[in-house]
Amino acid sequence: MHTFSRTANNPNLNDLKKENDLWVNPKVARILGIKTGQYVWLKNQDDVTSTFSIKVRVTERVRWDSVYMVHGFGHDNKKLTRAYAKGINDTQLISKIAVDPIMGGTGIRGNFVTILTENPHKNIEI
Amino acid sequence: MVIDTLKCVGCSDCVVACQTENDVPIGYCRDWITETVNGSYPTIELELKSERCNHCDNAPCVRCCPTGASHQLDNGIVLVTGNECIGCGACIESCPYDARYQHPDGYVDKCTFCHHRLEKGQLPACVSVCPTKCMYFGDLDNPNSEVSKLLKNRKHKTLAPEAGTKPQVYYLT
Repeated sequence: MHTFSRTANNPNLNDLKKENDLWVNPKVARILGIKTGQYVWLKNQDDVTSTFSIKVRVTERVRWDSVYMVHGFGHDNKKLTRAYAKGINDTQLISKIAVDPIMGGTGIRGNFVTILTENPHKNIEI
Repeated sequence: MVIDTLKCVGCSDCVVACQTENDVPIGYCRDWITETVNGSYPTIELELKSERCNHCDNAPCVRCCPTGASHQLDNGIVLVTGNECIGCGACIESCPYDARYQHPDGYVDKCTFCHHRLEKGQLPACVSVCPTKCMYFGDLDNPNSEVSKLLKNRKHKTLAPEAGTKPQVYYLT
């Protein structure tokens, strides 16, 4: 949806998609008791928690062991007036990486998330 | 207009191109993308379509207009004359495709097949920007036109044929 971080505040693109959704497989949604339209937070294996919340989209288009979201959202700079706090930032949840020592290629797929239905930041001011 | 659903990727270039070309205010659109998912993982069918006014041959929006602002040209294109429109909204309700919207300036607006561009020999904005080139536009009354040949050679469908509106946007399936 967005490119090189700089299209985030574009009015036309925001009109097309103002926030990203979290694609959740229907079986997982049923087990967790979450529904399309509900806002959830993600926490990863290193206890990194998403700053903002993301809207759930229950869809068959994703595997049961994965969730998907479009990259380029969850901006935390208030000056991005349209983009601030809309959706969440997927890269924030990528805390575990493996770097190839010769060519620098970076493996980012060792990151796993838990879906939280309650706001984990309730006692913290953002 | 003929649109190949096997090539559409739902990028929405057509939506933004139309908004830019036709001064559509942010928050409104003359065309939009639909995503239809059938089946369950991993056996899923996905259909992406770019939809707009179908410029129907039997248009309910033209019939129900009290002032005649909503009218149809000889070539089939359905238009609204803005300053004759009283904004009653009857046409919006009559359209089975939800193609019309109330412009903030008071009149009812919708896709015009960019007829201001057609007059200059150009294609509608949406057709001209499509990156997968899945959109075609031409004269269906001409059997030798590209669009006529596509309909002859490929399976196709229209939207809500049961409504009896005779829509003129065809989707190749």
